[in-house]
Amino acid sequence: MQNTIPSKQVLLKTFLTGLRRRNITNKGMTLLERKRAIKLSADLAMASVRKEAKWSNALMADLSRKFQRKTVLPSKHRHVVIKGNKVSTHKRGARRRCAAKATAIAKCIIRKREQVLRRLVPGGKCMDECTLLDETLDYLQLLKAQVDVMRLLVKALE
Amino acid sequence: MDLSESNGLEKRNGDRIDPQLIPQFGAPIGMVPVSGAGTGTASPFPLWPGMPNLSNPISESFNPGMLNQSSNKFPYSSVLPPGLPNFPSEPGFIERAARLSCFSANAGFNGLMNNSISNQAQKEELNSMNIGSGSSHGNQLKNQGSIDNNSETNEGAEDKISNGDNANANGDSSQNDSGSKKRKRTNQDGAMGQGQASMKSQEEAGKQTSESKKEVDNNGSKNTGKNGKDAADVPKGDYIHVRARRGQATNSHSLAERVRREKISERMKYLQELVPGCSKVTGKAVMLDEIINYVQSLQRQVEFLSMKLAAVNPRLDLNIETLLSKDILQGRGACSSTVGFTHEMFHSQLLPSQPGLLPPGLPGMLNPSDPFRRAINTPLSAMNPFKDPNPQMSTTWQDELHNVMSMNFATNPSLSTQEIATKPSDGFQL
Repeated sequence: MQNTIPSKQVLLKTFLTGLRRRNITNKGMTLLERKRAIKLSADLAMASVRKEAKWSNALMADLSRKFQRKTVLPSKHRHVVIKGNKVSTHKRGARRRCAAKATAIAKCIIRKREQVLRRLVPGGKCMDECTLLDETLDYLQLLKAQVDVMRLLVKALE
Repeated sequence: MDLSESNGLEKRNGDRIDPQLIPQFGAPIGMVPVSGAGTGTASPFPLWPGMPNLSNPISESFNPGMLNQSSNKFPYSSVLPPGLPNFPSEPGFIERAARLSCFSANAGFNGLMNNSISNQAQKEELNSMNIGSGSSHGNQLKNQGSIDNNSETNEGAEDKISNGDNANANGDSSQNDSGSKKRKRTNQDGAMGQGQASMKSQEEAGKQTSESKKEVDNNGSKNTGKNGKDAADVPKGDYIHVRARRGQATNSHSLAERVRREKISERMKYLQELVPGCSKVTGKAVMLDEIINYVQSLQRQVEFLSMKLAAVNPRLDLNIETLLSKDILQGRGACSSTVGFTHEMFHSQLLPSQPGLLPPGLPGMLNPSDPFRRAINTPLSAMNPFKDPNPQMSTTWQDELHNVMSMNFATNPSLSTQEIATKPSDGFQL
């Protein structure tokens, strides 16, 4: 289940190659555009290091869709969230015992947070709980590595 | 086969179920085929406790006949198929037959039977008996279960056979020492390995009710108490066989749920190690909260750092080449202080007041995602006259990567000078 922690060198190299590919110069590109290009490179580098994960495929799909469709907003919200919250509220109303209420409320909270997590992790809307946690793990590792790489870069450039 | 001969009960000519069988093997087998409703419960059980080695002979005698008649599924009639031929003396066939019943019958049958039994010993007998129950019953139960019958094929049938045999083999030898302790284990019997891929997909769809079996561990890895269950894919068998723990419900649904819950808690443990500051936290809700906060903070950090890099840009081009050639990771140690600083910075949501790093006039940088993106995307998308070189998205990874790269490349020049626009787009090389 645990994948190997990505080598930062690989990440860095991918990132920089992507950056160079975009030919980021200081003429003709505003700060925001540059930033966007940089972020795109970062995302792509992250996703390409871990190709077998679901979230990376979803991220790639998102990015490519973003460009193909030329829409203003990335179409992240097409998918319907799988689970709803309705059950818990009914439970809460129906039962009187404190223990049952607490459990139901806890479940409701957990579900809400799970939905938030689905929104955060790319591709999380189509996963079940177990897979979601797996992908979150993976995604977190990659995010950490990416942040470290970018910090190194900033540090080196100063 | 020895078992069949020693039993002396089976009818080789495929008669109706021998009434003599019933006292030995109990009602489930007798009742199951006939009723067809799978609701036969309660009455036969008193006969069981005294009966050792109940399941195997019957099942082995039963199933081959049924198998002979069944094509894909088990076209179970209320009677033992009259076409029960000479008893196949191949051990393999009998094993397959035994497996068949075992596998298919278990889940729902357990659910039905166990509710009416409170005695643990009886439950065990029942569980082992389920192994031997008729395939017809299993067929109905299967329908109740989560296995998707629509996709069953001959292969699927054989899978069940092999599965059933496995359970029987296990149940046979270890019934004596089962006691009242039940354990969880994955079935690692390689005999089940063949062609279970078709079933696997259905199982892994989430419900493992039909596949959860109650087996006695006879591989010598018997431990008292609870065994850790192998949550990963079993290399040979595609099922994860779960055993109900002592004092817990043996309902197939609750078993599957418990399996699921344990999977989730295992993953939460890993996440606990990964997310800093979560070692003391217990409970799903708080953990999820911390995870969410952490993911959000990391994403914001990426945004912030990319903005930083964009601001440092004048030196970026010059340095990219040098950086690529040399190893700058040696400077990792020096970064630790910076890391700590920026980490706190993010958590406290303070804007860094270092003038050199941030261009002025960028408020709210730390909550950039949505409004920023919109601001960025609007001008970009509105001014994109160029079409991507490869409009078709191919499915392979490299192609996608290339596409996005080239698309972006095509997008940017529209906003910048012509020099950039005329540059050819290379393949992206990693």
